[in-house]
Amino acid sequence: MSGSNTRNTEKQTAVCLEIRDVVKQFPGVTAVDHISLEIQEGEIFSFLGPSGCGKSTLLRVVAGLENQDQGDILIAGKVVNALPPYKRDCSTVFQSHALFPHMDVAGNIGFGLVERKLPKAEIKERVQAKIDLVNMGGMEDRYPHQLSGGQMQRVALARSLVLEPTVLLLDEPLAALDRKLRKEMQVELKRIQREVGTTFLNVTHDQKEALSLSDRIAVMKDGVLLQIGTPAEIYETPRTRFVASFMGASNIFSGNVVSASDGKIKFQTEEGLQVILPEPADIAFDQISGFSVHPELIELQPGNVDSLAAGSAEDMLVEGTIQEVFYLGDFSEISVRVNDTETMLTIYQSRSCNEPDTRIAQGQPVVARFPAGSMNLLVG
Amino acid sequence: MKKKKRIAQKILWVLSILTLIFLWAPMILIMVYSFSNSKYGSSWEGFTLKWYAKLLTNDQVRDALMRSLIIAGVTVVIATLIGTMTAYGLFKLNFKGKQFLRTSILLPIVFPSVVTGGALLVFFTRLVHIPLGFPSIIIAHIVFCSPLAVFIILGRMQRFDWSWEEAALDLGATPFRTFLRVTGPQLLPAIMASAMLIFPWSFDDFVITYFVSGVGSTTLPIYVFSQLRFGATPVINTIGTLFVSITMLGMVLVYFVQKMGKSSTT
Amino acid sequence: MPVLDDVSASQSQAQKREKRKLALNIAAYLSPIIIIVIVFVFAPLAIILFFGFLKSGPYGQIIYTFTFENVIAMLGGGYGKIFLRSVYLAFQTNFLCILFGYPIAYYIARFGGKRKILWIFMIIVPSWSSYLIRLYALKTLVGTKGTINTLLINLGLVSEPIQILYTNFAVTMALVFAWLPFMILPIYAALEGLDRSVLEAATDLGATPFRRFFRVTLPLTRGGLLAGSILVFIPTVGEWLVPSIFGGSKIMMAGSLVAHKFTQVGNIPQGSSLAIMLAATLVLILYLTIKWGGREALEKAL
Repeated sequence: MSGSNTRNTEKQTAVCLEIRDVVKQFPGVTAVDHISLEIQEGEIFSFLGPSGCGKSTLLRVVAGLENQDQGDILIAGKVVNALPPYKRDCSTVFQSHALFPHMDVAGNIGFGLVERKLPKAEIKERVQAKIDLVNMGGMEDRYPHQLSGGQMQRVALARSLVLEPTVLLLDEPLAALDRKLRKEMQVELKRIQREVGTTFLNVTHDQKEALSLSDRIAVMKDGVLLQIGTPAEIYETPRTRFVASFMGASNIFSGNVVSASDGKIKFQTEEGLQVILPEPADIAFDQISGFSVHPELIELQPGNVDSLAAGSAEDMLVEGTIQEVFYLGDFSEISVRVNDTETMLTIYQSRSCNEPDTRIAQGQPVVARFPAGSMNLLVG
Repeated sequence: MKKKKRIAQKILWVLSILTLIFLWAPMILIMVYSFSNSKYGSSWEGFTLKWYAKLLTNDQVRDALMRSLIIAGVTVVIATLIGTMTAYGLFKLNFKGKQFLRTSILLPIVFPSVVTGGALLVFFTRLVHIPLGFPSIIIAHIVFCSPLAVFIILGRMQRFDWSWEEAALDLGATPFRTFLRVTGPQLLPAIMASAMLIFPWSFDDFVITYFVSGVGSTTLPIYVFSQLRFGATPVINTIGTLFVSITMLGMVLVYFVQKMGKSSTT
Repeated sequence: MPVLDDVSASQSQAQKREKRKLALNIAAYLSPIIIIVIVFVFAPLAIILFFGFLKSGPYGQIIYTFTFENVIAMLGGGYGKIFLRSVYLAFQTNFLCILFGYPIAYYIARFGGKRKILWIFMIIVPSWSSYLIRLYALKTLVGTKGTINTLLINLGLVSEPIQILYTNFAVTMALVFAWLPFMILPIYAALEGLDRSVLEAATDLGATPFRRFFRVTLPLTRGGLLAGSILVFIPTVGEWLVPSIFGGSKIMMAGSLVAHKFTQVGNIPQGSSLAIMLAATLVLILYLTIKWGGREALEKAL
């Protein structure tokens, strides 16, 4: 039953959880709309999306706390649709941690083991091991109301991990914690996962958390899977408009392809700007609807195009005027209005010790340079 | 501004104290008189405990007391059980007609006792032929005490964080085990509270019991009523004092049970 | 095409399974209360509804002939007056309870502080104490040989005992005495549940405390007032003990009439029709109040 016993060390990339064409509807809304994907053993996989996108519902369907209207859930290759949650080989860490108030830390962690009717000595041993794993040593006798938020979450984690499930499901476990604590817990989570090797299925609305924690991310919106990939792929090459803006690529241009030659395409934006991009291997030209650029990749130089330093021919150059500068300490957020249009650009400029004379100020004419590699094609 | 507030506060305080006096004076009087050496039980003539002693030797009182205790005991157990099941069902399940059921459950406690008493009397004698006496009284008490249990426990349930149940299920406990190990312990304070509130309610009940008790099944309140025609008597004073004390004790216990329940919940 | 059929088939199968599980659950948890409600609440009410339309013999036995005569007798003449008086007294009691109950509820909620629990305890105990005993205690206080009279005579304020009992005043006073706590508690619950920041906003926007009470606090506690009214009005209409102890045979209310017919005279059809009228009126009132959102407040108060 436990994942570590049946883990096949020969197959490095075994599929431990498969979600097959799952649909879940509630009155008036389709929470999960035909979602299929496979999760590899030992990876940290995150569902990322805004609230209401269906990620929590999907997680609960996997756990068995909700029943899907259609589709299958397979854990370690076995269809589990008909199994109630207490018979499935997965365990959930809840957002509200859901510790049992009338049991102490050791009692909480040992709960599932008692249900499995294991001998007391073994329960004690396994509970102690997990208490040490999550750094809660010495707190075995405390009750939940005596613990802090972070401590409660660690106990919840230990309580689920002690059962050695094939998949550990985490339902926005850090959402209720304050920022500093959240960062510490993210580090803890990663360390613990590396140590036990269990597959983690994480649900979150926090992009940074998903990026720093996950091996792969699936972005969801309105019950639909928009994109799956590694953090780098999701961040640097978002495929759709929504994913791009959700990951912070605040500069999105619409337009279409006007010509193509020599492995390059010429793209014209609605504002009339033209840019040359390498021809994409997997997208048809008529599907390309625009491109996105992350704010930290854009370079600003005061003046106009003529006074510019040399750059690559494939950079896009845009003239504009600075609307507002938001000083945020480690970087500044600058909004620039493109001349003769209503388009606003968002640019992050890191604080640096060089060029103290080129302080950017409101009202200044600037040129924004979009380096060749910064423009990411969007579909749909 | 502040002065006005303080004046208002003082006025309200006076009104409140007056209201309390209005509510309590009669009963305090009775309690005092139960220790009074006066034959008529309505004036003070020296301290004595003889009426309490007399109470213990009074056969009629003893019988009535036993009867009331038995009825109340049985009612508490059954009504609390039914109340818990019903509260659980009402809380968890959603179906057409649920609102109607909820309102219907309210009816026994809201209707005037004469109506429910009369209706049950007719029902027991004309339709179903349940013997008047213990069976009819106990059934009647269960009917008007269960709703109380339902709403007390339901009220508690609505303040819970039920993710504990999901966590238990998720960790491998069947629904039955979940109730046994998680939900039950959490509900215990509410169940105890409703038991302790139902007991006085059943023990003290007069009107409905009077209707359905038939001849010969005298409960303590019925005995008190029969003595009422003689005006004030020391016996009634003592019984009354006991009644009030039981109720106060019950309330105090409820408070402490609730407090205990709260300390294990965050 | 076949794929779609399979999909919809499995969907309705899953739905059917869910429905059956639901029905089983309902049966498991709710069957006792459903049995109680049907057998011991609705059936008896239906019976007396039925009996109300039967004829009553000279000695009060039931003659199984369908007739309106009992209903008419109840509606007209002296009985109708009694019924109306009961309703009037219930309204009066309700109003007085609100008048006297709101100040203390307000005081406890607003200024109670650490002693709140003590105050509430002092209110709950009378409401939960034996009804009969409380009435008896009040009677002891106000009877001709009672404490108040004895005191007044001893103090020389009056030469003869004041007849308090068996007057309208006595009945009203006893009704309020009996039911006041049941009005105080729901009002208190409603006041406790008020969001203080709403009141602060009202003050900030220029409302004097007086105006704020009438424009903000009172409307917001409407639920509590409704719940308290249900708890007070409905039982009061059907009151039996209070009028018989404090009003004697001079002042009769609907409840005492019903009791009279059912027990002493044994005229069940008459008693039934009266009871049904009583019940019907109250059901109507209950329905109206619940429509105005009283039920949640009622449950909260409990």
